[in-house]
Amino acid sequence: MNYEEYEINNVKVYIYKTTKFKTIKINMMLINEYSKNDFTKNRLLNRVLIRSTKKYDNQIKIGKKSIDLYNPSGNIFDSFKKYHEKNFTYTFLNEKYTEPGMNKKNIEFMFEVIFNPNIVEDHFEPINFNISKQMLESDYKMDEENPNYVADEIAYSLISEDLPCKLQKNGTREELKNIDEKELYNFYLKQIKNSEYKIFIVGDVDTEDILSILKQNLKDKNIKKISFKGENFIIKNKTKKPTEKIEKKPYNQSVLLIIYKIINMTEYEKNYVLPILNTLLGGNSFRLFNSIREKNSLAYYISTYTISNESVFEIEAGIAKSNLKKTVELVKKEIIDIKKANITNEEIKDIIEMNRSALDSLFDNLNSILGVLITMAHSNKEDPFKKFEKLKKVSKKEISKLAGKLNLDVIFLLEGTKNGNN
Amino acid sequence: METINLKIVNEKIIHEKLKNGLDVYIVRKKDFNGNNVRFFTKFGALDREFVPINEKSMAKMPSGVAHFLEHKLFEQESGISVDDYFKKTGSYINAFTNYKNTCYHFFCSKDLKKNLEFLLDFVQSPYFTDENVEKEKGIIVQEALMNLDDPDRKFYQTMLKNLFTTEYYDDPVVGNVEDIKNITKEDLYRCYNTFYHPVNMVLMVVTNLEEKEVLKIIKDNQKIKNYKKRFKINKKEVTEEDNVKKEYEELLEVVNEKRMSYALKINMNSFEEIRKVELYYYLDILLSNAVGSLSEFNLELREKNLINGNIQYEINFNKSKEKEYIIINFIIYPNNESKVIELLDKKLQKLSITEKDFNLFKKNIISNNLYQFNSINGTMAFLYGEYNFSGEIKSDCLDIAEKLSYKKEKEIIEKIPLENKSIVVMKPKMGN
Repeated sequence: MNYEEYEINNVKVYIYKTTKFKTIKINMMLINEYSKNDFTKNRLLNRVLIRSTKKYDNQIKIGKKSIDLYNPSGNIFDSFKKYHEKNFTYTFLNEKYTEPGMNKKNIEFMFEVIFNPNIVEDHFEPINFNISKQMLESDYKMDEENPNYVADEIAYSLISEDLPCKLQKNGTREELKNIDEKELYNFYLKQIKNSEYKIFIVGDVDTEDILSILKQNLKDKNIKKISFKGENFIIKNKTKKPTEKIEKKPYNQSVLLIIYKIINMTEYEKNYVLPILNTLLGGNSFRLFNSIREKNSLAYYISTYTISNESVFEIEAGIAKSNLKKTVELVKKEIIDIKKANITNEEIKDIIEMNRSALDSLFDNLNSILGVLITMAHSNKEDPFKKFEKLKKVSKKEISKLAGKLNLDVIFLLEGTKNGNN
Repeated sequence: METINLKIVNEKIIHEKLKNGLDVYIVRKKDFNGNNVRFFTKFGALDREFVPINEKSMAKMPSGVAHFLEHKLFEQESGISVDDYFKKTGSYINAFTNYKNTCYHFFCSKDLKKNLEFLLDFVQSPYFTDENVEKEKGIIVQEALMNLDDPDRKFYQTMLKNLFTTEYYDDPVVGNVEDIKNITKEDLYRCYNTFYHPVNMVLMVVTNLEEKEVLKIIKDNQKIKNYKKRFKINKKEVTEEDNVKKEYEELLEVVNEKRMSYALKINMNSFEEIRKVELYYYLDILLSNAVGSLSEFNLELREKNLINGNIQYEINFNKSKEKEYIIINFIIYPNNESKVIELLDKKLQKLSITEKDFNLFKKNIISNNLYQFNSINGTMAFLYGEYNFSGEIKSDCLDIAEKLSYKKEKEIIEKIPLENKSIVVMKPKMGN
C-alpha cells in the first residue's frame, strides 16, 4: 500500500489516495503518557469537546453547522497501550459531490472542535460541562446493565499481571463525581501541549490542496516535537494456579470468561501465529464453536479475543451455570489438542482463506483502509499483502508451540440468578 | 427485466421477477471487491396463524417458530455444514429473523457463483428430524435467556405489545422458553412449505460482477427446481384497531436508568394521496425541528435536568389488512417522567417550523442519502431498507427528498393527529 508522508509544524501527515468513495476520512491522533487516574477524565473530555465549541457554543449551533457542512460525522476515542492515543476521526462528503470550498470548511470545523473548546476564562463552560457529565453518568449506568460488560470488568481485574487491560479503562462513576470544569480543562491543556501529533487522511484528495489547508490550521498551534515509541508487554511469569471466581448477579444468563496469559510471546508469534490460533480456537465454525455450541449445545455464543500487545488471550461464552465445569473442560481439551499439533490441513486452509477474503475486502471500506494506514505509518507494521504471504507459511508446529505458551490465569463466572424465571 | 436509475447518486439497480415468482434485485459496484447477498422470505414472528399449504383450516403456531426454522435450515441432509461451506471460500454467512421477515445473508470476495448457488440450494432444501430439532432447543433457549438480560428488548417488546391490538407482538421474536421447547418438526415443515415459496421471497445481490451474469446464475439455479404455481397465502389477518391496547404501563427491571417510550399511533387515512417515503421525510423534518437533538425543546429539558441524553425518535409504518398506521416512537431517558410527558404533550399540540429550518433539515436528508452508497454494505442496507419500507424500489425514491416543499409541510402539520398514544416507563427495581 503506497501512501505519502509529509511533515507540517512538527505534525506528521500521512495520505492514502483512493477515488472509490464519496467521502474523505481524517484521523488526528494525539499520543501522550497516561496514568491510571486519567481514564474517566478522558472519557468525559471526549464528551465535552464534541458537544460545543467556542464558536458554536451549544449542541444546537454545532448540530446546525454540521448540517450546513453536509452532515459530517465525527468521533473521539481513546486507546491505552504503553502510551495513550486519543483519536479524533472525522468523515465528510468530498466537495466534488456537494459544493466548492466544502473540504476546507470541514477541516476547519474539525480543528475548531479539537483546538477551540467552549471555555470561560480558565475552565469549561459550566452548562455544557454539566450536561456532558450527566450523559456520561447515564452511560456508566447503562454499561452496568450489560452482563458482558460487568463480567469483563471483574474478570480483568483478577489478572495476575500489572497490565493496562487490568485497569478500568472506561473509567468509573465514582471518579466522575469529583471532576470539575477547571480540572478537566487543565487536563485538556496538558494533552494538547504535551502530545505527539499525527494526521492520517484517506480519500480522493489533492495533496497540495489538503496540505495547504492543514498548514493554515496548524500554523498557530505551537505543537512540540515529541516522539513516543510503543512497546509490547512481554510476560515471563507463569501462573501456577488460576484465580477462579463466581459472582452472582440478577441476570438470566451466566457469562463465562477464561483468560490466558501468553508467556514469552515473540514478535513473530504475535504478528503471524496468534491470529491463526485465535481463529482456530474462536472463529465461527471452528474448534470452540463446534465443540461447545454445535456438538454439546452448551452455549448460544462462544468467542475469543486477543490483546496481542499485552499478551492476553480471552475466551467468553454465554452459558448456564450448570454447564460451567463441562465448558471449561472442553476448552482445555481443545487447547491440549492444538498443543499436540492435532491440527488438520483443512483447518489451516480455511483460516488462510478467511484471511485472504478479509484482505480482498480491506480496500472496500474507508474505516479499514484508515486502520491499515495507521498500522503501517504509526505502528510500523508491514503492508497487509506482505503480512498475508508470511501468514500463509505459518506451520502447525509454530501454532502448537504458541498454544503451549497459553497459561491459564483467570476463570470467572458471572452467575445469572434469574434462570429465565422472569 | 427493468433498470432502476438512481440519478442523484449515479447508481443503477436491475430488477426482475422470475417465472417462479422470486423478486431479484442486483446492483453492480465495479470498483469494489466484495459481494453482499440477502435472500429473505416474508415470514416473521407475527405470522403465527395461517392455513398451511395443502390444508384447509387455520393452524396456530407456537411463538418463536420462524426463528427456530431459521436456525434449522442451516442443517443439511447431506451432513455438509453450511458454516463450513462458506468458511472454505473465506466467506461469512449469517441469518436473522424479525417480526416480518427471515433473512439469510452472506458476504464474500470471490466465488460468488458457487456461494450464491449454495445459498439458494440450502435455503430451498429443508431437512428437519425429531433429533435435530431437539438438539437445537438447548441453543435457542440460551439465546432466549441472553435476550431476557437485555432490558431494552423487553422495553421495546412492551411498547409494541401495548401499541397494537394484534396479539402476536406480545411474544419476543425468539419465542418464549416453554414454546421453544414444544416446537416439533411438523410445525417447521408446515411453516416452511407455506412461506418459503419463491413467490413470497426476495433475493438481493450487490456485486462487482456484471448484472446479466449474476441474473443468469440465479435463473439457471431456479429453473431446475419445479415450484408449482402458488396462490396467495391465507394468513389470519386481524384488523388492527385504531386505539392503542394500553395507554400506560410501568415496568420494574434490573436497570440503572429509567427509560420511557412515548409512542403515537396514527391512521394513515388522512394521508392516502401522499407516498409513504415522502410522508416519512416530512415527519422526520418536523420532529427533528420540534423535539430532536437540535431543538430548543430538547435543550431545555436537558438544561433543566428533566432528561438524560437527547430525545430520540423513530418513524415506522405498520400495515394490517386494509389499514396502515404511522407509528412515531419517542425514546427518552427521563429524570421526571410525568413532567416530561406533560411538556411533550403540550409541544406536540403546537407544532410549527420556519421555512429556514425546513430547508436546513431538508438538506440533512439529502446529505444522508448521498452517504448511502459509499460501500457494499451501505448499498445493501439501502436496498433492503427501501424494499421493506415501500414494498418495491422506484427510481425516484431519492429524488423525492429534493422535491419536498415547505407548503406541503405546513399542510401536514395541520392534518396530523397526535393524541392516540401509549407510554411505557421502565424503572429500576428497588435495591438496584
